[in-house]
Amino acid sequence: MTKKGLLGLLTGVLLAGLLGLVDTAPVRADAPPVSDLAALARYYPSETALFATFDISEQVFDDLDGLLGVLRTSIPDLIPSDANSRDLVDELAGSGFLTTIRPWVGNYIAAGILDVESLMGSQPSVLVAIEITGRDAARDFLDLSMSNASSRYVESEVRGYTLFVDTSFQQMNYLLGDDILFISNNLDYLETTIPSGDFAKLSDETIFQETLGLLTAPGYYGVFYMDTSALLSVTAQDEFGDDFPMMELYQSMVDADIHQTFGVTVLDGHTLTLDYANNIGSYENFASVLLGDDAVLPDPSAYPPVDGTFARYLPARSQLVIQGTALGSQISGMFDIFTLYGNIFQQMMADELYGYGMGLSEIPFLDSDWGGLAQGWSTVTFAGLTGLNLNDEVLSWMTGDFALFLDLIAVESDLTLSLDMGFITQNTDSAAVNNVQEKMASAAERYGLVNTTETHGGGSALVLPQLVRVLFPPDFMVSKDVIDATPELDVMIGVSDDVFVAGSRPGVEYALNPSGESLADTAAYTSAVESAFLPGSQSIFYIGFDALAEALRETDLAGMSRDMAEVMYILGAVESATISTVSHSTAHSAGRLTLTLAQR
Amino acid sequence: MKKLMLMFMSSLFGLTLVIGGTAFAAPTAELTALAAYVPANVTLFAAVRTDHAFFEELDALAAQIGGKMGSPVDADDGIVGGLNDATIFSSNGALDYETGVRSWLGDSAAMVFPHAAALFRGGDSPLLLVVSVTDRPAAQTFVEAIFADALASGEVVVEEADGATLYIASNRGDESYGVTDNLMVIYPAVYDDLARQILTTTPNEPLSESDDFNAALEALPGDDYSAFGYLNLEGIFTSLPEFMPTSAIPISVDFGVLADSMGVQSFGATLLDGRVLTFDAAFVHGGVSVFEAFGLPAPSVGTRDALDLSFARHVPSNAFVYSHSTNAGSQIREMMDNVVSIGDPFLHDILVPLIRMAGEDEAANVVDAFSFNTLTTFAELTVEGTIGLPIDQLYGLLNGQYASAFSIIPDPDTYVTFDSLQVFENLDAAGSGQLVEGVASLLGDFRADYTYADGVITVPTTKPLATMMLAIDSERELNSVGPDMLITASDELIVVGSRPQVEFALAPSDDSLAATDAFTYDSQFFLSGAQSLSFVNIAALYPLFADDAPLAEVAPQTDRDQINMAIGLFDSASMTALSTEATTQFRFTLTMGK
Repeated sequence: MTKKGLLGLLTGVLLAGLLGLVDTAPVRADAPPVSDLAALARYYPSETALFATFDISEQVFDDLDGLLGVLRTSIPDLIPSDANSRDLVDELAGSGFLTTIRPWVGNYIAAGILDVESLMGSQPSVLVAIEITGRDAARDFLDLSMSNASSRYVESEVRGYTLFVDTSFQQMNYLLGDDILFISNNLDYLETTIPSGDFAKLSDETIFQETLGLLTAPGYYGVFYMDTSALLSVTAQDEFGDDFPMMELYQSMVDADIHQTFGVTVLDGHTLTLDYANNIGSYENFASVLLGDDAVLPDPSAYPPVDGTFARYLPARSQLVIQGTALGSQISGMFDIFTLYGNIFQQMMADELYGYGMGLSEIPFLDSDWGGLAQGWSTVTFAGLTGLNLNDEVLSWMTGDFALFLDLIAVESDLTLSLDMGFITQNTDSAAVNNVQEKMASAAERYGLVNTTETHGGGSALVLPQLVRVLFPPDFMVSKDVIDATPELDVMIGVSDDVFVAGSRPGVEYALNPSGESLADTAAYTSAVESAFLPGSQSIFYIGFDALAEALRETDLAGMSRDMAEVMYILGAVESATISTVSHSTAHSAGRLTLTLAQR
Repeated sequence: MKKLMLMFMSSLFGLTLVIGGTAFAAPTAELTALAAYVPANVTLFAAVRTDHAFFEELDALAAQIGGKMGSPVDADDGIVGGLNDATIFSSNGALDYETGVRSWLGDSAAMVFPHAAALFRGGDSPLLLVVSVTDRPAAQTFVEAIFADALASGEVVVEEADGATLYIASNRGDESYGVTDNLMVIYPAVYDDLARQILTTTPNEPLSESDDFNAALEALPGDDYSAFGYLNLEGIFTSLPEFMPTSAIPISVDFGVLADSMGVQSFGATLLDGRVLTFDAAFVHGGVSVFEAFGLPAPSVGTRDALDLSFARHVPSNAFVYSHSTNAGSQIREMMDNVVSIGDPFLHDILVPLIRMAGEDEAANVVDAFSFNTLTTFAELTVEGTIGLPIDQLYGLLNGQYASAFSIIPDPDTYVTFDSLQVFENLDAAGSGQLVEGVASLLGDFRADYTYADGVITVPTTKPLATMMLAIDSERELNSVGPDMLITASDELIVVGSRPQVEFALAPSDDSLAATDAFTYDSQFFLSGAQSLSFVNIAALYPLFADDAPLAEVAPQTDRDQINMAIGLFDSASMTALSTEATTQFRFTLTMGK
């Protein structure tokens, strides 16, 4: 095979696969299920540390063309009417891919590292498996390619397969079967292992099946699987050796038996989706090494799923929303994470300092519990600002849904625009929530801050007009009078029977007295709830591009420059972006990133 | 021109004030008799006994101390010997102390600093020395003997004036003498007018009849002293505008108010019970606060309760330093309030304009943005939010007796280590329980290494670095674990400190500081009704340097002998203070070993 031919083969099928990663598939109901996609794993050994497989079927090209069609409705100037995926791949891959390769290539391609130790050598042991639909056509292609190659190949038959051995460089050997073509630099694996079929297969591994099973979409165009522990093991050994002080930590992560997977698909016809999942085989070991034998890592699966209807407290114009549950527990868990990372850092520093004849204790705070420092100083600082005990009086009742929001808004004053931002959480204990508002009012009084109280709907709000305004420098672009005449800059602490909300005036007023269309009523958010967020998500991150574009138009930012106009145009192609995460148990967690294209 | 007499007498004042002045007292009326000859507006008047018996007592005291130090004091090295040498030298051998000085020297002498203007004017000594005289001819003989050469050369001329004989130096900076039947005045010629006034007339308003002087005298807690001082700073601040024009001062100062705020001060020194060197100081408060001179509000100062000396029963006898006061809560409250009421106007009305005048607008903006109210509010809210007590309740529960103690104790691992104790009278059982619980909660937030059980917080500690270094230097096997620190409250006390100290405080035995000979003995000399006490229990150091002490392994015998001899000189030291609306008194004592 010529190098060009080979490259054409690999480039073409990989491009098809990669295009599948961004495939929007509006014309096909489902991407192939993981089980189909991962079927080629039966040719890989059970200890395979890196494995990737892609859908390269003809359908991928159709799906990509469908995607272009969707984009063309929003940004026709950027998507020529005659643009199609097949021409694109053919052009990029060269070698007449569509005419010489595509006809005999099947639906799937896989690639994997056969021997994780080989990753540290000059030639990792790689196996590429390509499903084929016509052995003869494939043979013809290989013959043509090999005849033009600089390498010399020797052909032989092995148990129904045809083996082509690269006798010159031992790099690209081929094993051709009735429905499969293998390419590998590991001749023994091609010559002996695969033909015999007598080996422990990756597809039979429980951990492989379990990890891929964490990908919850109906189907994927590409899946990537990684034995993270094995990779850490060899990289640590190779980079540092047994004497490396972090070896204990690395070894613990190896023993923790960590596996990860990524999957790419399209949901609801126009939502580009990247799923990932973690599978920690021995979570207890992981925790004990990082935090000590008696310590327990926080169990993220304890958090309840978010309530998609909580967005009813946010206005329809919401642009950036982070939503989760049980903020109190999450913040405590965040301190635990600080402890964890502190311990890791301390292990690293201990060896460095040992080299200088020093110990951790000789550097202030270095040997401290970082989570404790963060929690302690947060408690002290929060108390100093509010007079409230962060844990006992605030976090303890924050057990329901919460949301953080940040919106660009137009204002009537000469300031013309402002940011509406804040924090909303469910009111789970009216007495405790009222106590927060009362103590914050008292603290404001003691600090000598102007403070008033307003009623909105059934809720009340403490208004602190100075908090944000003092941040404007004297030489700000607009006068102090303009700042003062912009009520959207008021900071408010609101309480209703339903929520506690703190932030700038527009968002707080809406949360206390939701009126008109809310974010939960918008098509974009509804779509995200229905198809973009992971089922049972415990935290979600949402950007509403339509609302953002509208805000840019209202605030005249869109017309400020040509670049901004172009950005606005491109933004028009996107409806929303989301990130959602869920932990099923201490061992199993998953996340999803989506980009939903606008359908005009 | 010789200035030996003035120098010698000044030295005598210094010596008596520091050591000798604490010796054998005389009634203050006698000691201050010379105030009748001095104008009321002097800035400083300091009197000391000058009778021969006093000098001998000083010499005996010095000999006593020298003996304990292993350095016997020769008779020639004492006060009398020194005066004798000075007299012989000054008179070129014509006189000695016995014949030339003792014969006319009265019972007291006073050093006078007439006016603050002299201080700012610079030049020669601004002091006058007024000495009581019992034999005028003998006194004149003394003066003529030391001026023999000057009189012959005309450098000093003699003048008779209204019953006084003046020996006037032609050089205005040199010493001149004036002698009457009762007085000798030694003065720089620049003070000729004042000296003549003292020597020849009775002041219309003598210092002895001054209200300020008598108020200062009355403010002293004792009746008898060997040395006495009176200071009227008002004169200094009244004179300031003469030498410092207000235009040269970047801030607005009302020097009249400033002078009024100074009040007057008095000092007395004596030896009590033959071995307690005592120095008293009394401050008669001015009519206004010093802050008002700068246009700032007066600070609020509350009253404080008297000490209950039996509170020392909660402190073990090995306490080296003991501090005892009352109303800690109110004091903190006042401090916070005053920081705000004075600090913020100072920042914004005085400091910021000064910085702007210097052209540093950015720095001025930074300072202007700062507020002490914000700082103190943050501090108080921090306490409320972390401990869980309203700040007023916290202040209130700390308003009883309060003591802290510090011990240096032998340690088998590090030779010495330290224990400490803070103990408050518990005035609020519920509040103190919440206080301890709140501290435990905060330690929990910091994930500190501690335990909390049965209302007791236990925090493990390591020994101080300094003591560990001592052990490391000697290659001693190191055990760095120190005593636990405990925080707890009983019905009676709130206690923080090293485990042994805390356990003792909660269940005191007879081996308390209050029961030690040193404390029991010294307490009779504490100011009556004192509101604060600092006590140094020197005897607590004895075990550190004993032959069987761990430190003996590394400290040579000779070093320990010297240390033992030094610390054996004194049993204890103390400072007590008592403040009322009108006055503040301090008493410092140093008790010599028996």
